[in-house]
Amino acid sequence: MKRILCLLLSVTGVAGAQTNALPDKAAPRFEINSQGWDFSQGERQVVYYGQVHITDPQLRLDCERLTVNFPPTGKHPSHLQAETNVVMDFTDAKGAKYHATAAKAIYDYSVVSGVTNESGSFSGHPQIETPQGQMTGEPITWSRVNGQNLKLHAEHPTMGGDATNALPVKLF
Amino acid sequence: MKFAVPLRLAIGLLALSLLSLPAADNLLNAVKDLHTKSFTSEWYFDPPHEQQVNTRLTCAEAAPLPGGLLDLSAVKIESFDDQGRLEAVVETPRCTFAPLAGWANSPGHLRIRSGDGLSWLEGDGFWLRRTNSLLSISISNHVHTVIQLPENHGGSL
Repeated sequence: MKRILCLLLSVTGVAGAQTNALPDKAAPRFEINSQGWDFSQGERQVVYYGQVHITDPQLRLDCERLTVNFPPTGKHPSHLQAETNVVMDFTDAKGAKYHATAAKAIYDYSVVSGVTNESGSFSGHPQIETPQGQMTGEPITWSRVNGQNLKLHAEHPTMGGDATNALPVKLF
Repeated sequence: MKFAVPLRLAIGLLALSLLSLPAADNLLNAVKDLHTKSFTSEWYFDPPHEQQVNTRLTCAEAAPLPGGLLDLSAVKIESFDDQGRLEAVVETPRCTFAPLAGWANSPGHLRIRSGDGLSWLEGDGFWLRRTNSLLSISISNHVHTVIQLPENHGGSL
């Protein structure tokens, strides 16, 4: 579960931020509340549904359904999907506040030839508010290799950035 | 820890050999004619760890129900690794168990916690089913999950 949460948080970079912000403080504690929970070993899947609400000291995430998939081998979830009325609020290590909304948020993780690939997207009228400004697009995608060089990309941006390059602002 | 906690907990539940047929037969035979109190049963790893308990089931009472079902109360299932370390604990005050069909359910509370006590999952109303050795679990209401990372977690994913 901790990895699920770390993974989830990694969508917004909070996991890394926490590491920097809380090197030797109290152990981070995450909580998830939902109406229901399903686990399928055959599908290697966990689903939280119904007013899913996740909190930790730096992050809040609300959605109606959160699906977590595990790969056949390995211990790292391979896919996370938050759906319906996705709202994220988080504060980075420097205290900057971020707010993101979308109909769907996806996170994918894989390791190929020793290279860790992470990617994700916000879709369904996504909007991200940062201290530097606001970003919208359809979708907003991001990727990261070996935990570094976060690249953001907004298709059909309506504010800021362009359709081909990462935002000029550092979001996470 | 070889698995992420939810998976590990679920596998702990799975380890709930409770739902395996030999174990089910044992339990069913033990209570088919009468109520059994303070029931404890243990299952062991295969060699070379055959001395280590894999799963321990404890229930205050097991009573037969029509249709080959069992009414279990104060149920506690402990899952251990092959070094004897507690991996997960599953507790429910009461559930109906179908030993041969391989399912258990209850409108009551279910609590699953990791062996280190740092993480747990609980909710009301649950249903477990084992099909072809694969486990499915559903908790239908008031699900609350707490994950506390060890202080030396390092922050890595």
